[in-house]
Amino acid sequence: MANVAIKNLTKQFGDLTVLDQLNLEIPDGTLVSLLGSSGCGKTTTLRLIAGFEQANEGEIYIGEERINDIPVHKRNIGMVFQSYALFPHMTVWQNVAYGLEQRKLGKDEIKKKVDAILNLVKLSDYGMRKPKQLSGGQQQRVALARALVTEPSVLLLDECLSALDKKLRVEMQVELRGILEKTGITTLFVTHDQEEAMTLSDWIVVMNRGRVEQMGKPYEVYEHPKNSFVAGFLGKVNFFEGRVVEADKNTVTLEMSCGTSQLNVNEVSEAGKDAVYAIRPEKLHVKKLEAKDESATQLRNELGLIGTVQFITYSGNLSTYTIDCNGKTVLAEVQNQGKPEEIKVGDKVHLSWESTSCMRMEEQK
Amino acid sequence: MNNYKKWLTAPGTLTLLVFAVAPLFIMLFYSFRNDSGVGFTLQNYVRFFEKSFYLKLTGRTVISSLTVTVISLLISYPLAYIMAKKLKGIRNIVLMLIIIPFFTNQLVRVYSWLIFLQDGGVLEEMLNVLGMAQDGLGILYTRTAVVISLVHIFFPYMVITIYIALERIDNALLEASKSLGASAVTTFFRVTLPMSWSGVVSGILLVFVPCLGCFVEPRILGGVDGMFIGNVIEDQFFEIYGWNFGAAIAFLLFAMVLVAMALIHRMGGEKQ
Repeated sequence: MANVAIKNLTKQFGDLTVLDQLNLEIPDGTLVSLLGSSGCGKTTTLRLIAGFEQANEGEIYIGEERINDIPVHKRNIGMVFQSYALFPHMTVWQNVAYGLEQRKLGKDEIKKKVDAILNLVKLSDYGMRKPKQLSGGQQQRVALARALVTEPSVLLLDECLSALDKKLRVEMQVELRGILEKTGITTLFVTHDQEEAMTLSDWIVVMNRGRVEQMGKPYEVYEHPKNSFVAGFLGKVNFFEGRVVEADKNTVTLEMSCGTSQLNVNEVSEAGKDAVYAIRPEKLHVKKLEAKDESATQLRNELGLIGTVQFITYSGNLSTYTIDCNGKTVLAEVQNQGKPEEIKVGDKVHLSWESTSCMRMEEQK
Repeated sequence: MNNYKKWLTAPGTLTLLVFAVAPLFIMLFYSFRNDSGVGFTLQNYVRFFEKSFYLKLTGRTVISSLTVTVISLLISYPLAYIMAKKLKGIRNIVLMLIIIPFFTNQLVRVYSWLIFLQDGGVLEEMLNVLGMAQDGLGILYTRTAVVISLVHIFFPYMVITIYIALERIDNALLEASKSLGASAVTTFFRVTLPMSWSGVVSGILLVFVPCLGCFVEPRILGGVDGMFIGNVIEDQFFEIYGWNFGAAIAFLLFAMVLVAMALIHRMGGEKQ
């Protein structure tokens, strides 16, 4: 077990730069997710650590050792592939024993370790089966057992849950977490599923175009995204984009393409500058406006936005309102509190929020 | 299955019955016929085993066919491997180059070898230029010439079956093997070879079996030394008009082919 450090890693395929001066530090014994859309370089990062690809520039360390020039089979890594890549001509037991045989362990020791790990993944009775006689979830566990049994320094997981159906995937997430906590192995997990990344990881690394946009604990990247890419990638979000006309202690007056509004925000930007603010749909308070309220000066002065409900999506535990605020579409999610039909399409509503919910985004480079 | 759909197989079945099964039975009939044309006898079969000439020739045919198979395998596996795992853009071009000889008439191919291998022929000229020639190559009208031409004709079958088997192997499996600590050599012997074994077996079958029965190449390139058992059958039918004996040898060869196929098939069964 060891930490993994990546320094200024650059990888090009022909003219295409997949990784651009990537820096990453994976602490010992933690589970880190690389999260990003396809083509962001997350899988390439994993394959570079595994040694299937060679970096153009930069360095990779496992522990203290620089591994750039060490061939794959001497790196002591464990990898679970998206397709599981179980050897179809071998039994489950032989698959798991394969890595131990390469390490020239004695027969008794191999047997002891294979039996132990199959027990850990609850497949003790399946040792004599061929991989294709197993279900997807079972194959997944064999692949995991095969990667773990050699006690690698780093475990690399490549979108290994994405082939399972949703129910099984959630079960496997919990199981995986349990197994990895027991072994305490440094794990790097590549996924494009933000929910999966949130549930599984100690740290999330959001990647975009070959660079790290943000690394943080799951709640950090969700609650305090650095920029609009991270905010938009993790969960739903409303953006307010425009020029700051006036900045007060906790409010900014933002001139947007659809009009000027005063917003209460977590951090003000300088007047005269462009700024982007983001707010998550579930952080909005939606209040229905009666005809008499509309004229009330008090409400008009209250901070927030006024809009018309255009569309309602009811999904049981919550309702999502699509609200038109002066030409700007805003999404609001409201927990079902037993009055789902209180607000209807065409109703005027008032949207308000805590100042901490409206997050200032760093300008994207 | 609907009743009428069953009849859709009728033309195929009928063709096979008329042109494959029936002739086989006619041959079987002849192989037991007495040369006098009256009654039946085992004499045709006995005659084959009585003369050491026929047994020796059969033995040499088997050995030559095995030689062709082994050489084809040695050429084909690396070629198929490179095509399946290393080449990307030009893979189809290489495949095409391997298949093109199929479009050439068999006799044209054989006579090309004749011109190429004969004393004072193209090969000798080429070696002359390189300063490596001895006077008179002495390859033509030997077993070597037959083996060379048979390898040329049959190895593409082997390349293609092995290529298909190798191509089906997911590269992730090879990567998985390496990630588990296996070197490239170990990966080859523990993953690549066992997983492509079915292709190797089909290739062996497709090369070895047709070689046993061939007679054109030995006739044109082999001379006396390079005769195959197929030539004896050919002679019996076309030169001597000994149909009965010819049919008997043909049936013995047929039996050999069946045995060979069973053995090769078992080779495949054990590994998979």
